[in-house]
Amino acid sequence: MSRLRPWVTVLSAMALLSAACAPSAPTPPAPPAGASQPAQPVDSGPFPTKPIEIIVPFAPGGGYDAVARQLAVPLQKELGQPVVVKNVPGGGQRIAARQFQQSEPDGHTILYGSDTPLYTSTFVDPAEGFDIFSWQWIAGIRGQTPMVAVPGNSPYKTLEDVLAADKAGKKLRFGHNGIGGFLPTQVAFASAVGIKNGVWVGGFQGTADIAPAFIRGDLDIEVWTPLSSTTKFVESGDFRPLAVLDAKRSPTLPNVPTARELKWPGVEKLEALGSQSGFAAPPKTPADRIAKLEKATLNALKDPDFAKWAKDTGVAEDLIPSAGKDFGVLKKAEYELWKTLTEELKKAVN
Amino acid sequence: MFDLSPIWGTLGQLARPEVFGLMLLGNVIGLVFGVLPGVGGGNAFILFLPLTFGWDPEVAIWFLMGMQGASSFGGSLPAILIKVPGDTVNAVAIFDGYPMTRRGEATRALGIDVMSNILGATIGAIVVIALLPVMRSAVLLFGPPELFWVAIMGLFTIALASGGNFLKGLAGGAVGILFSLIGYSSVIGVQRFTLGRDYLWDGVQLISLFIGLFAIAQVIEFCTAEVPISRLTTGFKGFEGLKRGAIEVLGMPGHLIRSSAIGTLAGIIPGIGATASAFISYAMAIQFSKKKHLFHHGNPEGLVAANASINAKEMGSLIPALGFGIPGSVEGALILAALLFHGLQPGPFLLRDQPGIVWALIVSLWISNVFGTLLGLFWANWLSRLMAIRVVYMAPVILVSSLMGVYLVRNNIWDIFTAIFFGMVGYGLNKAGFPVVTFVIGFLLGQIAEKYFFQATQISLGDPAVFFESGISKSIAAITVLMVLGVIWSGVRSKRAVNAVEVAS
Repeated sequence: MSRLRPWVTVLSAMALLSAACAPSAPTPPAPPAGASQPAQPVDSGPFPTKPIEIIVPFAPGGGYDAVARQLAVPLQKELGQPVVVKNVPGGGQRIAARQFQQSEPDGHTILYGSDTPLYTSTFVDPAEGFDIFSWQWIAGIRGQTPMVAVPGNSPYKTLEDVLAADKAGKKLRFGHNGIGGFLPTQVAFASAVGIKNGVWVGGFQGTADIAPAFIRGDLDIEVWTPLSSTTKFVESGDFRPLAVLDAKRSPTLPNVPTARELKWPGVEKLEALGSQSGFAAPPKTPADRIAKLEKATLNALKDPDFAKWAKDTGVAEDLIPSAGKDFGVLKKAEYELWKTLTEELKKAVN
Repeated sequence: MFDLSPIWGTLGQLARPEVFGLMLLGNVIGLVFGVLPGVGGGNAFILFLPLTFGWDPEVAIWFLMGMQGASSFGGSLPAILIKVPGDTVNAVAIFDGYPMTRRGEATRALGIDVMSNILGATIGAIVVIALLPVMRSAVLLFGPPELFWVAIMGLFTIALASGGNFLKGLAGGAVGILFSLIGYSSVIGVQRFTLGRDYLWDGVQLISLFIGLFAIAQVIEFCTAEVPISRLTTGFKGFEGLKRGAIEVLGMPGHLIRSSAIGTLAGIIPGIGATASAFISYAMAIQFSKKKHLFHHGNPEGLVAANASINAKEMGSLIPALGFGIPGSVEGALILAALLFHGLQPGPFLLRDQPGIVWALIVSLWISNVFGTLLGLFWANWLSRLMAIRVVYMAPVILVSSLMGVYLVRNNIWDIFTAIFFGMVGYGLNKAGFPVVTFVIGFLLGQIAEKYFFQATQISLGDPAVFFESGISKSIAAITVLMVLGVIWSGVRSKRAVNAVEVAS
């Protein structure tokens, strides 16, 4: 029996090993020695003094996760401390939101996420344990322009065709993945352009399974956000884009007109449908630390390696590097718009 | 037909020492992560993906696929040897693998494991390559009505998997379905059984449930019975048993091909999942077997059905990832993450624009399945000594490492509590004689069936004819009906046989 003890030791060692790597996946290389951050006399003491953690409210492997991990590399050059990504998926981002809200406000924990679905969900299901308006925005990172499309073989060529069908009593099927996902955008779009017979087909996971259903012709029309996740389907002819919901045309799809050009009804509301993502710090984080994180983030977004990656993957089209203050103002306006839709949302949900 | 010559070019890369070395390194990592309960290959993938920053994408693919290919074999080792699955997909290997171990046939079981892994992956690879030109239509063939029937067929396999005790099997399946309903349902927009907790919004986590039902329940079992797993230590040395097992697999081409086909199909059509397909494949093997009564008691056929489908599924999951750039499954999502990290844009044009990458993915996943399994074999011979360890040493190690694995997935402490809860459920089910299989099938497929039912009726605007529109729907429905009739018939026959025996005596 005793000769087997080494195996127990080996197993325990393996267990310990995986425990050590467990919570925060990528162990980045040590920061370059003396990464130059001129020591400035600041109110809240030296910062950062330990690794920075970026909470991503989605599972590893998605678009958010990829951007956060790619940004972590130049960020740690800027900040002189390791920057690690922590994925806290689930609960329609609420689990991450609560964890973030309760984290130490010392600048070492920041959140990267798309808050629009999160706060629209709070109109229907009250938020518990987090308050989006107490968050302090560090910087805006990505803007997500929506695009309205019908399947490639759809009988509809324009919004007018769609509206005429709606008027004739035809039901128009939209796909969604719930109140914390794409449902609010679909409802808001239908309400803005005046579609009366929308049918909300739920139960999808996200773009990944809505797209095949759409191409099969199981759905009639859809607002896709962000546009960059579906441009490949426009190129392949699987999707027929009707319009981009932004003030100006997208550089990725220069041939697709904007809703404004086409004089769609409710165009102001439509252009506000896009969501933006950025970094946030918990309430009461010292202002000088936020300023430091803001500068580092904006610099990291300009990093040549990151820029190259963003260009290769198409993410570059969405980048909207913006100062935390401007971003905060934007978010506030967006919130007011969504709030006007509360009643319609509640109806669509049930 | 299209040009197959890139396969040779891609295989030629193996001659580069760094490619070969990194694939083997990936294999080793995949095996270690696979063996640790709860810490599946997916975790290894996510952990090591950032390491490949700046590598040549094709080299990175060999390394990452090396992990992917080896981990499911790694996970089957503890399932067979100590009744603790390395990952959710490996739970099926327990049913017949572990009884073989108890009989002292661990090496035979491992031989079967190895061969069915390799052949499952190979059949999967052939199907994937054959389907490449039509892969987009293959994915689009299955919509909500078709998937509804697949789920219903899977649920009916509860009848097959009950192992003689039909009523208890049914009850277990029903409770499984109830547990699957927990969470926010975006189809009907309500929260069910969430007790007002956001934690339950996403439902019961699959990994927590599996680690609980199998690993934790087994730890409790270990602690209540102070005996080593197998006192029979014959067959530890030498490759005699391994060879015997491996050759045995070749003698059951029917099981091999059917299980691989189920696995590949489950990979191609998003929405069913590797674990569910392994269970369906197992239940189908029972249906088609001449030795039904031997299942759950160490029937090699059960082990083949489990392993072949898992490895074929891995290959199949490449199809939606390559054809549309969409993840059809966890495996597919990881592959897309890898492509994205290396600045490659997965999508409908990947095969046209980056054929080298597509072939590298297919060939490396297949080759690493073969190499990873063979590599694991050397290790398996050593690992098979584990079962003679006294449980006082074994139980705590399993407990700690599996709970840690559960935590690692989402960094959520409640996942651990959930696992412990299901550990007690699993122990209770075992003690009361309820088959855990049917509970799991109910859990995996109940909610899927409901979801696709609602989606299909919403899409058809309430017209029930949607369920019988396509040829695929009709065929799966017909297979389901035949299956049920088969079960009833065999039940009647065995009752007659029993009656006949009673009359005779």
